[in-house]
Amino acid sequence: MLTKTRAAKTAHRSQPRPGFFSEDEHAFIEGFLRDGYAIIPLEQKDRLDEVRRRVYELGCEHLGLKGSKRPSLEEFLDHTERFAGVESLNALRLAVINGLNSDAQLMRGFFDMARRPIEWTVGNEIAMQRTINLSIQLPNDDSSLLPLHSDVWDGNSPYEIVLWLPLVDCFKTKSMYVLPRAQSRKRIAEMRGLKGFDAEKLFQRIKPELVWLEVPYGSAVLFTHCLMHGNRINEEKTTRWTFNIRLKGLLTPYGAKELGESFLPVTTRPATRIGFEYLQEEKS
Amino acid sequence: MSEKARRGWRGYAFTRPIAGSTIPHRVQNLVLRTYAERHGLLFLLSVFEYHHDGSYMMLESLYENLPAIEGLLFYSLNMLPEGRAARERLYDAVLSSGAGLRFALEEMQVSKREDVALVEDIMAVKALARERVPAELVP
Ligand SMILES: [Fe+2]
Repeated sequence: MLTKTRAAKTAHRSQPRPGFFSEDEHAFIEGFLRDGYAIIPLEQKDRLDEVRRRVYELGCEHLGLKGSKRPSLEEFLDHTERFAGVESLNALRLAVINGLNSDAQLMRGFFDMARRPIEWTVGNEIAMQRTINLSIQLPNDDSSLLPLHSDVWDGNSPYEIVLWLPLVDCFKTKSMYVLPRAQSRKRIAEMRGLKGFDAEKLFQRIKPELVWLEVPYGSAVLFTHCLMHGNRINEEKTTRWTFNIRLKGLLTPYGAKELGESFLPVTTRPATRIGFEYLQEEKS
Repeated sequence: MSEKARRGWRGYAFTRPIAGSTIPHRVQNLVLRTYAERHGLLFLLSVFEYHHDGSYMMLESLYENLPAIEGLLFYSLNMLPEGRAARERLYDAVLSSGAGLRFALEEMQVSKREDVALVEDIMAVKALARERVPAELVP
């Protein structure tokens, strides 16, 4: 009898559905959980065009390309090898980055271009890397290879994601490759307990499983750096220009890149501030 | 009438662990000097805080000298007092005397009241990473 009374008093609860997501959000999340990455169209294309134009101007300025020597924007980005050699690439990269950083709205701009999928991936209370990384890969340049790796192996938080944003069309070896999530997990599990790690050997072995991301200008990749990923020699005819920026849930654990030093809060919510202040008042 | 010229940034370093790690004085000084150099600041010899937990005696002793210098240069944000009230006293002391606060490792600064919010947001998250809500706060 007792059980019956109890049952009668308990409100009927239907089977919980995990997540209150809209349909497109749900589909995105399922895809990201499956693959560990997503290729996303960017919003505010005019802001991206502006950044690209600025990169071109800063680059030309640094290399002294004036008047009749000044190439078109397309030629400069596609054929950077005509204007800069491998040895002068780092100086060019730094000149462009430093020039871009003088724009206080730069990071905000990148964030806004991908805000919706970023929030779908890490939540809406977000920490973003303070500085942006730029990589330039000339055709056939073997000096800027990025061997197969996961950033987590260097002590970075597994809660971080990377926004990988090209200024040119990226495809085949001009792009980056990832090992999708299921295979990444399997391969990493296999590696545990192994002595010694040879990135090149592993790359050759898992080559058929790798996905070379096709990312046209105007779009970007969001990926978890828990995935194994990397790049090879750019065997295409044109230069690769890409930015990458890390993002994570503000309140998720930090790794080697700490809050303050490497990340900054960009969307702190009032409840987080109020809760903290309440606890602090109790303390003092 | 011009204000008497302020001179230099006073280094402030720790003897006790910072966020769980003990950083040699030499390393802290190196970071402070490099930061000052890169930002074109006159670096004034560092003051080291007492070792015992929670002590800010050296820091507080610097307050009266604030009107004569440009500000305090902390090795890291992680050295800020844990309690909000103590941090408020620091912000007030610094800002009301027209000085500034800089953090070398994080390359951040507080030069006006609005800059405090970002520092406090970071402190909130760092505190969250360390602790749970204490049970006695539940009425
Ligand atoms: Fe990586």
